[in-house]
Amino acid sequence: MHYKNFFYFLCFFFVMFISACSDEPENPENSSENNFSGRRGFFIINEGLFQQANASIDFYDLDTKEVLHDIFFTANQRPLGDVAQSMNKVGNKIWIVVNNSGKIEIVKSKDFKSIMTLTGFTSPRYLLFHTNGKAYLSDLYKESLYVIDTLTGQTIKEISTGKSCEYLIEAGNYIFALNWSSLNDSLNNTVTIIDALSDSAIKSVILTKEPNSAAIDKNGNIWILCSGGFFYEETPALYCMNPQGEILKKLEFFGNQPYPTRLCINPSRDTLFYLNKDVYRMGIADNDLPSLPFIQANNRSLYGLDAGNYILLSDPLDYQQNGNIYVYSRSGQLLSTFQAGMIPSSFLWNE
Amino acid sequence: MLIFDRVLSQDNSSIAHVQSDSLQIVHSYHNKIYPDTIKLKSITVSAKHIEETHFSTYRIPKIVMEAQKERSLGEMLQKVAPIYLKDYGPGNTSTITLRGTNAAQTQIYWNGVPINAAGTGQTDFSTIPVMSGDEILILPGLVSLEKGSGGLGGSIEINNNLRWNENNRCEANIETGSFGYQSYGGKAAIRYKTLQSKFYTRFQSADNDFEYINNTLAEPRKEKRVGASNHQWLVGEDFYLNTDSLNSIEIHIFTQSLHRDIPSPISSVQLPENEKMKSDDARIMASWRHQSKNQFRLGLKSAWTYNYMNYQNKLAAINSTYTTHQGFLIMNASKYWKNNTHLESEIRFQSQVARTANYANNINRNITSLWIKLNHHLGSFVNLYAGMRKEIAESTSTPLLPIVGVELFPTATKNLAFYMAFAKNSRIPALNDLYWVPGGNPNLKPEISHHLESGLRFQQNLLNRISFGLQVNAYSSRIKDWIAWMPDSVMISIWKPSNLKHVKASGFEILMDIGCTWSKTSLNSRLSYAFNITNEETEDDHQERQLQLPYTPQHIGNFSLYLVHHSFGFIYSMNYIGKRFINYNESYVLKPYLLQDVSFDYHFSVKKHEIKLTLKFYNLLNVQWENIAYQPMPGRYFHLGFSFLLNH
Repeated sequence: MHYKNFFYFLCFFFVMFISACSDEPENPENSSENNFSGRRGFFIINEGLFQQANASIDFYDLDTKEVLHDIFFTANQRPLGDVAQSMNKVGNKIWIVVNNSGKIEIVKSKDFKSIMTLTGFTSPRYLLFHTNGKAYLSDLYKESLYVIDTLTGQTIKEISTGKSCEYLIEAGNYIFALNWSSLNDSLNNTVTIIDALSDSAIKSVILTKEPNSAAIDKNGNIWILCSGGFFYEETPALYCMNPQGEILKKLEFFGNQPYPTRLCINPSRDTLFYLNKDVYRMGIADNDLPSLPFIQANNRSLYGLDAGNYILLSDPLDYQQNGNIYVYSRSGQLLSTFQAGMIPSSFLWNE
Repeated sequence: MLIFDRVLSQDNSSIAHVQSDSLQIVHSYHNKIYPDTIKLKSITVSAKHIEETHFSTYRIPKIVMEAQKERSLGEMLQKVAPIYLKDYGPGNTSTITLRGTNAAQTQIYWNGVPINAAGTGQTDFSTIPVMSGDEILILPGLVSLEKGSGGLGGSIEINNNLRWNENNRCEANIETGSFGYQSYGGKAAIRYKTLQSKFYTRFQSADNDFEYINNTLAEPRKEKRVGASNHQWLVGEDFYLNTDSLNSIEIHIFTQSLHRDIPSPISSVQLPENEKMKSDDARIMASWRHQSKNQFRLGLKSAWTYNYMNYQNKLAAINSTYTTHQGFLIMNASKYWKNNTHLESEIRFQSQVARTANYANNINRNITSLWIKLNHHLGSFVNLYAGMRKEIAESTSTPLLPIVGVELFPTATKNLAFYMAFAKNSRIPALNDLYWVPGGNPNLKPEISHHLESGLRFQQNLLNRISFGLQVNAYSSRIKDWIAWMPDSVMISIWKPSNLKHVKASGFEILMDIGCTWSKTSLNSRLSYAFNITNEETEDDHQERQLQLPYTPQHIGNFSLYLVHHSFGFIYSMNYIGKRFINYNESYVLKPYLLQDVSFDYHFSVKKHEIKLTLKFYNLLNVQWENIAYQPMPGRYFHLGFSFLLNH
């Protein structure tokens, strides 16, 4: 009898032990559905750490001040992937480029439910949706651009550029592809101009090393920011070009090892913003770079910048934990601060 | 007149080196539990015990080392020790997390020589074969200061020991199993008068093409691991020579070559054979030991270690090589007095030479380490212990590192001991931290830790058949100026190390051994459990964030059972790892897992020779598990082994 009780006790202990080891969800966020239709706010792209697949998308509601975390996971019950690079909204769809997962996730803009996953890319970076109905995709490890049919998601062509391309910007019938990467010893101080009618590269213009971001102003001119190289090989510069690719203006940076990034422009397209540790702004008619910052970093590691109706800044802190988002008015007043996901890097307005 | 005999008592509790007119007993607590399989005639040795201070030292039982001899150190430790290994998959990189610290904060010693990579400061546990050592010790926490600085989490010792009980023998092993696993190895031990030589070699390869379920896809599906193959070849040689009754010489040589494909995380683009690593290691150590008639011992050791590593990433056009040479000269002296006092001192010179295109210049760094320790027994009940280490490294200033402790023995038999100790430790930055281009920070300070630890040890033998051992340790440590790499505040694409964090770790460990022997049957079991809380303190106000550091499980548990009956052997092992957060905000976790393995073996003799057949099943319940997020591990698999032993 005693042995029997002992056996039951052992069974009970074993069951308790096993049940203590029961599965837990990989992400503790709840799985309620979200609806973003008509909500005034912006999406935050959290890159996540390389090879750790903790990229995520958050949403901030400007009216309710509510932050919705990891909305892709909430909608689809699976992680977004490894290094979310960029995000574009086209109609009622959002395309999310997930760099190290080599894929593009297409979701419904109203609830982030997955529609389709495009795969077969190696290291996709930026998408450009041209008015001709096609999407152009840059890839770090390709010396060409993918041309994608936006209806089917099929890659219909590759445009040879001879160099790895990064950020893409549309200027009329031309696409300006920034050659940022020096991979395979390719020149990384040029912009390749592509004719969107013939889908072919027509010329390459030499700028300064590492052209990293670009904006188009109200006059149709293209502004390109070059950081000067990984080892400060060249003096960083801001270029202004006309749509034909002729350089109209070159403004060189000064000071102790400047490294400007994240050029963007306000909605009226007359004021440029960029990061150079602090936030700087300048009018498109100015002939000199600003010497004083518009918003000071103050011990923050500013990483993401957007100059829409509000100035949005991100601070990834030590890149190991969730970062912070700062919302400023257009006059530079801090309006709100909140926590986003891991390495918040860029923003997309929900318009 | 030289009389040198070998004595291994029946329960292997003590290894005594009996010499003409001196006697030394190295008391071994853990060896009491696990009988060796070698049959020896028992003799009685009577001598005065000189107690060594152990604090929390875990010895890997020999029966485990024998059963796991074809595995890597990482694979074995995961099964039997309360530690966590960040394991990227079979045959791939595996680094340790000991008491909440990172891999560079655990020092690995091979016959007393530190072998952590000079560049990263870490050791890849998948590159250390269990068969390369005769003894493996885990020294968690402050006790590692006795071997050297830098082991803020602790240290692991791999030693080659003299085995005078061994006859001339030759052994061949073949093992095969799932996922293209093959292993061919052999050992030969020869003894001639006072010279003993031991040679071992092994070739091992695996495709590691196991199946797993990819949950990151819109439609989860079964996939096969690609680009994860590896092969490793190693050779080792140990020489022991007793020139006379007072002097002995040892030479240890080890070399290996390892090739591996590095698989991508399953969340990334799968690019088979895109990333590869080749690593060549060689190390040689020669030592001379002298023991005088008046309990004075002198040792001189010199060693050289070499590491070549090549990493290739075809897509990213990376072909990076790293070569390091390290030379060591270690001198130690110790003296025992009749009043139960033991004084020990050591001076160690270490020279590091590193060559890589990732440093601006060739790097040479010299480190000198001084150590002195005093041990004094107050009667039979109290043992006082004090030590001090000072490290002098070029361009890095380190403080004096003291350790003080007391052991209490409430009973005359000394089978119960309580101890308490305090120590300060430091780790000088690794070469990559200082000199890597871009990002290296030559102004880094050493990491400094303070440890407080207490515990108890208890052991009891009943009727010479049943043995019971219990060890409980509780610890608290604080590490300041923890070195962490993060992007530069301006040039974000460049990561730089800085003395960023302060971390506090506390917890306890329990280790329990039970063994019994009757007739031709022996049953041994070991249960271990570790609880750890490791929090980061914020830089500004030194407030704890109360969030567990990533990849630091709070709960680790192991259970092993070893049954030997006549010619049959059975081993069951269970390994539990609690949930682990994979980011600093505790928003993502890796699921806990419980792995169970079993092994059966049968050995029989043909004339004087012995044949052993082994069948091992790993992950018996086919659990899906990960030690690193999105790096899948194999489900159920098996190994089949054949050993042929030639005795002479």
